[in-house]
Amino acid sequence: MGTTTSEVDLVYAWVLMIGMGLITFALRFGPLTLFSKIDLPRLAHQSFRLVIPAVFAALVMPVLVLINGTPILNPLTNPKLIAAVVAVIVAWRTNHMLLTLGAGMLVIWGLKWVGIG
Amino acid sequence: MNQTLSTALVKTPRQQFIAGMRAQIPNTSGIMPFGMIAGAFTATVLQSQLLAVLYTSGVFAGRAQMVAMQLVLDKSPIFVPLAACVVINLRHLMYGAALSEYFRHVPLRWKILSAFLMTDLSYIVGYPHFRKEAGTPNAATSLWFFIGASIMNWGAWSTGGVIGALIGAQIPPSWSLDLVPTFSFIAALVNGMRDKAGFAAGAAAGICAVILAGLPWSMGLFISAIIGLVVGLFIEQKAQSARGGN
Repeated sequence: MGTTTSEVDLVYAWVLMIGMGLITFALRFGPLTLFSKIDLPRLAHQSFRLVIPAVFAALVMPVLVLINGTPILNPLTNPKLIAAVVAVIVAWRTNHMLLTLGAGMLVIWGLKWVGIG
Repeated sequence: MNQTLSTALVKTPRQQFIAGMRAQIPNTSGIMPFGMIAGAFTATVLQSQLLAVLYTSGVFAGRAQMVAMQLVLDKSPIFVPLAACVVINLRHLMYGAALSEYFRHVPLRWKILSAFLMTDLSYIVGYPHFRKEAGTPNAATSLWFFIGASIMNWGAWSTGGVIGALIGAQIPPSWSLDLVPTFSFIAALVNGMRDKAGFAAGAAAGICAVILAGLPWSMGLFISAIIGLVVGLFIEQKAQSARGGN
């Protein structure tokens, strides 16, 4: 992986940045001005609340479970699962983003250091 | 409260701004290292320190930036990270909806600045303050508390981003930095899954995402998120009718 450094398309990187900047700003600015004039249905408010668990579970789970596209549920061949369990416990107890991230990465590095993964 | 007393104590925009900055200080210990990680990860993926700083300070959407960089690593077509950016930042609609009643009489330029600076942390610190001062003489200046808190947040994040961008290219792949976004999302995920509907939404979306991971261009992500939303809403409706609501 380290030997073949892939080329990054600079046009892609700039267009993506400008696009993300515009999208993010529009999502932050739009409701601030528009929602003061409209009453949103209750269902919309309920679905907003569920956006974070739905999106983040869909982001996180494949990365943790899959190795080269195949689900690996044996923690000895997939040490990401051990790190994930620790991170979930830390998140549950502390609700602290950085502690959770730190715990997960420390377990990954620790297991790598003792030769797992 | 006593009307004459609160009129006498009315806060100037400057006092509000400084108080807002102070209120945000505890959160900087978390946001600065996260900015550093985002800057380093972006500099590594894009092989450009300039772009890393511009993404971190200019786009100012850490989670979306982390996901986008992961999708760039996966060589996704550009609409995939753009669509992911929409989906991940949808939560700002909720913040905007909640804050909008305090922005009715705010001039456009301060609305633009506030919108650019809005993040999870500026909302978490700013929103309770707006509510507390609503209806008091201080309501006229409480916008500046929000802006102060938000600028402190942006400053800490951007400082981290610059440091990360400068050291990023030296971080070897064996450090598994590609797992950083995943673990940084677990806290928000677990917090969102504490109630029944949130748990159902997360469980359904997570399982679907594993099953649909083979779909091209990470489309499984969006389909799974929508399935999760629908399942979560269904559970919530059921729980509400069980509680005796109509």
